[in-house]
Amino acid sequence: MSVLQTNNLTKRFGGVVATDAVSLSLEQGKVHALIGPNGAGKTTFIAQLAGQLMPDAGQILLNAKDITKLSEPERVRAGLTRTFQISSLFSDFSVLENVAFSVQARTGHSYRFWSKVASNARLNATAADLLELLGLSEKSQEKAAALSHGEQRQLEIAMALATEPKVLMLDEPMAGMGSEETQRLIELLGKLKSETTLLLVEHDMDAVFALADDLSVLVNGALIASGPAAEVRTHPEVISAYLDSGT
Amino acid sequence: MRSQIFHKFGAALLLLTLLIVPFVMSYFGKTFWLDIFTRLIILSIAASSLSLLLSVAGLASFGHAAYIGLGAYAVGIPVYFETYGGNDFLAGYNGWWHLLLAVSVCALFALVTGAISLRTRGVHFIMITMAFSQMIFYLLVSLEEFGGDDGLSVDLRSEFALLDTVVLDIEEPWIFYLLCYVLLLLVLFVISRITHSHFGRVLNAARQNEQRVRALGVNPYGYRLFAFVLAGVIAGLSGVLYANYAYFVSPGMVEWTRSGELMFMIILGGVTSLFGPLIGATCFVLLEYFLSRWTIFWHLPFGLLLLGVVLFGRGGIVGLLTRRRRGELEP
Ligand SMILES: Nc1ncnc2c1ncn2[C@@H]1O[C@H](COP(=O)(O)OP(=O)(O)OP(=O)(O)O)[C@@H](O)[C@H]1O
Ligand SMILES: [Mg+2]
Repeated sequence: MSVLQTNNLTKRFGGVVATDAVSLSLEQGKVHALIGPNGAGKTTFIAQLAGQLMPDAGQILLNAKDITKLSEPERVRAGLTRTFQISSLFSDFSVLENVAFSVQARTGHSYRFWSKVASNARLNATAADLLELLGLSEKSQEKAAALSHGEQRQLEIAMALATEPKVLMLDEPMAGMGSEETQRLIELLGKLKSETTLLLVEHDMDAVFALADDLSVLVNGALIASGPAAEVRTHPEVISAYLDSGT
Repeated sequence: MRSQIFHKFGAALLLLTLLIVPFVMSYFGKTFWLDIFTRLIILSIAASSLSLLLSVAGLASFGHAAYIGLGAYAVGIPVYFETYGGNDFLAGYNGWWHLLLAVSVCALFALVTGAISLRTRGVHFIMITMAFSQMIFYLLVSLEEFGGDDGLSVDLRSEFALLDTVVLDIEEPWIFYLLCYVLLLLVLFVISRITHSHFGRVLNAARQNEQRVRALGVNPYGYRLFAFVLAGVIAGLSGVLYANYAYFVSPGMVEWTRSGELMFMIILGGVTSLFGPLIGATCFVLLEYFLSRWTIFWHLPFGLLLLGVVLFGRGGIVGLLTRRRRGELEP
């Protein structure tokens, strides 16, 4: 069953066609990897799905419902969450607060003016569980800005998971992680996929082949192949296009 | 941790000083100090309300003086009508009536202008909030009946009565001072609670990284608008006090330089602290007083000092104090 689907999604930046009539479908409970050389338009594609960028043409369907016109927060509340290629954190907040706020964002409105949110046991407990999951428990009281690059990548994912997405779009989650961190993340994402459908943009091919059920290849904004990972990876056009660009 | 304790101690000391000094000075016959301190407290209330926008939410509203003006005219106009006749509906010395007027007018003005301004960002937001306050300025100037440019004098202070018994005789200067002081404490308490609430965390997060707040499913717009209205209402309250303090209201209270001064107070005091605006307003009023006694060209050294604090003392006076303190404590 298709959870998230695009029909002829198109986005131009001046003369550059960053997304060229892309029709893609994510299947429930699967990991769909999206690969392509630098500048292929992967991040631009995710930004349109998430609602930060409006497409020039085409349609986005979430569970068969047209969400093309929904605002970004509305899409998140409908179950579609993204992470960022460059970690997007709250640098003045502690690590715990970053996640606790993300939990807070999911749990209804925040027009609550009196109680001390920092000592809200429910938010903190959920946040602590997520930090545990990402191996950040020991850092929970540190400022997000003080984390190492790899730790910030983990925090980035913990925050996205806090929104309890039905579909999670990960923009190069492994970039800048050590091999140990990468291994743990691969394991975690593997466990996640029973509940969460994943769109994984990643340059780390080991991670891609370890996780991906389906695989799509984007070059110059257009899909050149899409289908079960085992088939697509042997596609001659894919091998030439992808390997030629040196990634 | 140490700097936090130092901070709390310093704040308590300041609050205590503000409570004691004017009375001691009055006792020794220098009653004008009560006057200066009253003004200082009222400005602190206004600056604190702005700090909810500026420091917590990161919204550089450059039109905050408009609310002081609206609050002040909510006293001036009813008192004028009561004295000279003209409009029986608005007329009255009743302080509760003045408060009701000020709160509703400020809330409405903030709601409408905030709804528009908050669709913009950065410099545009600064300019548009300033433009709205200039609108109020020119509106007040054009009100010939209420003195236009020259403003209105307020013959009697607001009357706070319950069941026909005056409960607060604010014509008495020290009672008025205590009222302002208690209101300041109340405002600081409310702002502190709000800052640390669910609501405050949304404002804070959206100041740091609006993109991520949206990507987590929250649209900050409604929260910012609510804060904008709340800050406007509190500033309106300070306007009610100001009209009573000065026995006078005029469009000059809404000039854009007044809004700028409120911002300066916050930056001078330090944006990271609840008491920053209070410290800033204290320094502002005292400096203004001493420098203007020393030279008529006091604006120059005053401006240079502000520039110095903004350039070199990031975190304002609170920042300077806690940093130095930390430096002393740590070997
Ligand atoms: N806001 C923008 N304005 C103009 N051009 C843009 C904008 N964003 C992206 N582009 C262009 O669109 C193309 C696709 O960029 P995008 O960032 O989506 O690529 P990517 O596949 O994510 O690359 P990478 O692997 O380096 O992250 C590039 O040519 C880029 O220069
Ligand atoms: Mg990218």
